[in-house]
Amino acid sequence: MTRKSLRTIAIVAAVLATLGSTALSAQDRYTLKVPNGLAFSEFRGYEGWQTVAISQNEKLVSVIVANPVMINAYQSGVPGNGKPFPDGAKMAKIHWDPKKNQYFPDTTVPGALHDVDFMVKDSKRFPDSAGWGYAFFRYEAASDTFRPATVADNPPQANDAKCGFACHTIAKTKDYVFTDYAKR
Amino acid sequence: MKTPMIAIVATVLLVLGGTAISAQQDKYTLKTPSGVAFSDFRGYEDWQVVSSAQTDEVLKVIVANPTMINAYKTGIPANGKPFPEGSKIAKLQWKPKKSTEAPFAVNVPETFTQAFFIEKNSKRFPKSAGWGYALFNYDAKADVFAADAAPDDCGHTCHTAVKAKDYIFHPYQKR
Repeated sequence: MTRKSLRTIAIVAAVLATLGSTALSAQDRYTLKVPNGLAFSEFRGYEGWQTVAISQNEKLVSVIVANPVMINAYQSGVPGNGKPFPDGAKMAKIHWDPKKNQYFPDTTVPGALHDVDFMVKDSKRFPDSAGWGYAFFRYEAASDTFRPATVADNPPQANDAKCGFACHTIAKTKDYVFTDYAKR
Repeated sequence: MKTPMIAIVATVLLVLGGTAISAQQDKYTLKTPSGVAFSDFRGYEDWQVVSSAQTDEVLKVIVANPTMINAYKTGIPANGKPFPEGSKIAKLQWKPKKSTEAPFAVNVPETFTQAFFIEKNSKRFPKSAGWGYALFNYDAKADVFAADAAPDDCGHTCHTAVKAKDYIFHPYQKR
């Protein structure tokens, strides 16, 4: 074998090894689960859900989206009409770090993904939190991976599905959902 | 005198019915001064999110139709390819308010104000790189939309700043 062909083999092997490890290291977020709580896979497809509204402060940019069950409920007047969201309603709040728009300096746009928060209505499964289960997954941009949030995150998240209940009790009259469906 | 009473009631009901029908504007009959129809963007209320943006005065969500979302997901426009014919994108704008319910300071939508639209149709809009622009203003008090008086807002002129991205400012945000 010539020196040149050996070198070619070495290069090809190195390229294949790199490709292989890259493919393996790509995380399947849908295998994640809050310990003793909700699984990421229960919210499969959230990337394509419809917009409920947006919100923004100095720390985070968020878009709130919901699954078809929940969007249909909003459009029929829930929760303003006093009725609760039905079982199977799911919503997600996607948070990004804010950054200045490069073309319009007075405009803030999403930067790196920060976390994804979920709520699901299942009265039988979550009787102690008015039927809602909560989950919070932190995204680490450096490693391109998600992980369940912990008590070290802000807001702190204990390892159960009730972490959101305490805060959301403020919106009890709106079936524990802060965000209104924004007119468009 | 029972018959006249019935007639009066019937008349009142007819008038009420007529009011209900006429009070509800059909926004999809509107057209911009340059001839782009609101109905070209029918169903935009349900399109998927591309991104969002905020200034001190405005909260914005950018949504796109399935043709355009699929194009974004295949790597357009970063891969150098243009968005396909039939791509449609909307920028929905609200006046913000401070949330009175959230346990932290946060701005949320208060009043819907404007819907900006862009559609790709190379045959119809050859002079603006295939993109047609439309702007409809929403009057919340009257609950009616109206086409903006400008021929096509700043449309193509402004978007030329991002010619290298097929004239589209917003990238599809990771989620």
